[in-house]
Amino acid sequence: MKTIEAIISMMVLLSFASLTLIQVPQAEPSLHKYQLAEDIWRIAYLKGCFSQSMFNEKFSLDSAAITSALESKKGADQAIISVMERSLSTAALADPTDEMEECLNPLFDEINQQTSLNIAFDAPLEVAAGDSLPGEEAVVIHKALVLNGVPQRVALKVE
Amino acid sequence: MKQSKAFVSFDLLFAALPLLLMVSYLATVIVFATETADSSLHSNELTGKLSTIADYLVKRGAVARQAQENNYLGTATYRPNVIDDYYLGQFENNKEEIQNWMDLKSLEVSWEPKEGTCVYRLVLHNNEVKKLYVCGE
Repeated sequence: MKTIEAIISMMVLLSFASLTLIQVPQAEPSLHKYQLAEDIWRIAYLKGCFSQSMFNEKFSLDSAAITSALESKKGADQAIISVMERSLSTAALADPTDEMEECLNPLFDEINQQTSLNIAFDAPLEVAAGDSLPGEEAVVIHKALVLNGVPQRVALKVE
Repeated sequence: MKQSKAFVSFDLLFAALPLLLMVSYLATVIVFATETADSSLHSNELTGKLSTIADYLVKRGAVARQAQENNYLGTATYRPNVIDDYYLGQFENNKEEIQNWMDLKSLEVSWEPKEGTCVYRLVLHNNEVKKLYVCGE
């Protein structure tokens, strides 16, 4: 009799256990989020947000000024020095991260409106290698960018 | 004597009834679990197939490209995520073949979600950010 009771108890337990297992929510596939994160990075690149041309333009304008100063041959040395000083000061003031964010923020807003994905860009990355940014469900991809001539790790977080 | 046998039968009946009910309940749960697992597996498989097709489209199948100068064996430079209407149209022409390969009942590639399970990718189309949907069953 006790054996039958034990069998019955076991069956009830198993049935409830299996029912509970069925009801466990499935983990959201993150592969698609990784693909979307890569898409966002690619689109940002295609839109020119990581282009260094905007910094180079300042130098190219100044190099034109240098050329004209050389052609005039009047106080050329002084003109070159002043132009170089201005170039250096402009380069020092220009923060590539700010300029990049100016390009990225409207793009992220546009993507957010279309997809309801929350996107965050972190540059330079301040977390150790292999760590992820806060947000358990977020997908983080790591990339390298040259900022002010220095390669730096950056992270793009999508959730 | 007869009376006592009848009582034994009733006793057995009442004892067996909850047992039978439990067995049937367990059988129902097992069937439900199997069906759910099958459905989940099929859904994951379908999503995987659609993701694969979408990935092919945004990296190779429907993107803008430039043939290389020597055009050796049809080599070209591809621009991932930049969708070209001409190549997207070409994919539409070959859709049935891919549908058969992937063992799908239906396959739709469009800028709007269609019937069935859909996955989307973010692309540039005429320099605008758009969602390219790949839907199928």
